[in-house]
Formats: sequence, C-alpha cells, structure tokens
Amino acid sequence: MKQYYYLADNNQLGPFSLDELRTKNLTRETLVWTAGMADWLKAGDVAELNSLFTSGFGTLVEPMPPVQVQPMQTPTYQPMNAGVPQPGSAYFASTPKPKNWLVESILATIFCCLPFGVAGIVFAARVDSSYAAGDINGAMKASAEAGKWTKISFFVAITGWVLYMLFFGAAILATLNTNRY
Amino acid sequence: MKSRHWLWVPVLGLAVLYYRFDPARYSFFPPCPFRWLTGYQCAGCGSQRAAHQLLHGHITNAWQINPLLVLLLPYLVLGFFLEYGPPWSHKELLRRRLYGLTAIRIVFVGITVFWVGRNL
Repeated sequence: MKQYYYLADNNQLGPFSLDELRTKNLTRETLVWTAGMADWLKAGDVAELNSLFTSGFGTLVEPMPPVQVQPMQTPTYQPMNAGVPQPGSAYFASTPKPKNWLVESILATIFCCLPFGVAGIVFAARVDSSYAAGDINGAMKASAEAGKWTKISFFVAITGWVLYMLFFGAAILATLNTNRY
Repeated sequence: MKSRHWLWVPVLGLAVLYYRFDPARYSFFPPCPFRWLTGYQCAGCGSQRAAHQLLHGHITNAWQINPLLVLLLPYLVLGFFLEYGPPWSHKELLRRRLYGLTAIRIVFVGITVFWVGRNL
C-alpha cells in the first residue's frame, strides 16, 4: 500500500493511505509526496490521485496509469549495510528531508540578529546531518529548532524597529529635516 | 511550498525602501544592536547600506561596506527561489547540491571568519 504525505499550511502531514486521503479534503492545489517523487507535486497533477477529485460519475473515465518514476539506484547494487540507511534505499526515500531554514537563518544573521541566525545555521547543519544518517526524528526536531530561531529573529527585528521608532521618533524627525539636501 | 507567494510582497517592499533611501543618510533604519552594545562590528554590520549600494548597481561601494552581503546575496536569492518559487525539474537536485551539509559548513565558517577578521 502506497503511503502519501501532504502539506497543510507548510506542515507535513502523513503518512496516509489513498483511502485515508479521501477523508482529508485535499484540493487539486494541495502539495503531495510519495516514495519515488523527486519533489512535492500538486495533487491535481498526480495521476494516481485523480480519483480523489472525481465524483461518482467521474469513475466512468478510465484513469491514466501512474507514470513510473525511475528509481535513483537499482537495489541490486545496494550493499547490505546493517542499520544504516543508504541514499536511494527504501527507507531513505520514504520521507522527504525536513526544511533546514538555511536561507532564512543567513538572512537573520546578516540583517538582524547574528547570534540567533548562527544558532539557526547550526541547527540547519543538524537537519542535514541527521537526515543523511537516517535519523528522521532528529532531523525534524532540528528543523523545528532552526525554524524557532528564524521566528525569534523575525519578531526581534520587528519589535526592535518599532521600539527604535518610538524612542527616537523626535530625534529622527530632526535629522530628517537636516539631512534633506 | 503551499501558497507562500505573498512572501514576495514584503521582499519587494523592502527592496523599494532600501533603493529609495540610503541608510547612511536616513536615520530611521535601526542600527546594529550588537555594535551599539559592544562597539564591535558583527558580520552583518553595514548590510543595510551595502544593500542600498547594490540595488543601485554600485558593487564596488557595496563590497567596501560589507563584502559578505555581496557574496551571499545571489546565494540567498537563488535559495529563496528554490524554497518559495514555482516548482521546476532540477530544483531538488540543485537544493541538495548547493544548500546541503557542505554548503552550510562553508557558510558557517565564512561568517565566523569574517566576523572575527573585520574586528582585528
């Protein structure tokens, strides 16, 4: 039975079987992922999910056979490595890598709050290293931590700007006048 | 990711703001709290002024103010596109190659070295 994941407000939900997905009110625009896909796709573009969006009458139309995606590696060449999942193995392909927040953390580092941004970068590295080691739970925890530091930076930046404007409002108005060449 | 297109609105808004006003001349841009508290420059100090110079195409000026921003900005823009832009075929491969563990380590070391180096 194929297992599917989907994104709701950027949160990854799943795994669900096709029958469970029917109860989830997915739209054609919802991004879904299952083993063998290179990236998230809109549910409306995935042939095997067509039945989610067709009413009872729609089943008269024969659905297109699902496109066979070329596997990354042939399992025959895969050495049996006890415990450690290898790239391309079934385990590795079963969950997409959680967001590592690298871009957001760099932005926070150079435009707002260097310590928080650097914390985000450290957790971004942990997302990728945990995922590469097959530790999906560790990767998801690190992803949540990295995201937390981005959000903290964002709110510090906003409050910092607002406070700056409030406390130095008068001085700013004065310099605005003198600086107008 | 799912319908994050609204993110382009604040990004473009900030670009217009930093294009129109030079943070070196207008004081309504907040100063760096780290520099204000310690007197030392952080790795991001000058990024607002450098962004203004870059938006006007003055790469040399921007480089003199904050070379880190000049180096990182194209990387950030590409990363932003990969994260929030429309899906296309080589996206996942590119993200794995350019935004994976090796890249994160290089970024981390680069920022730290620059941060220390500019205060020596």
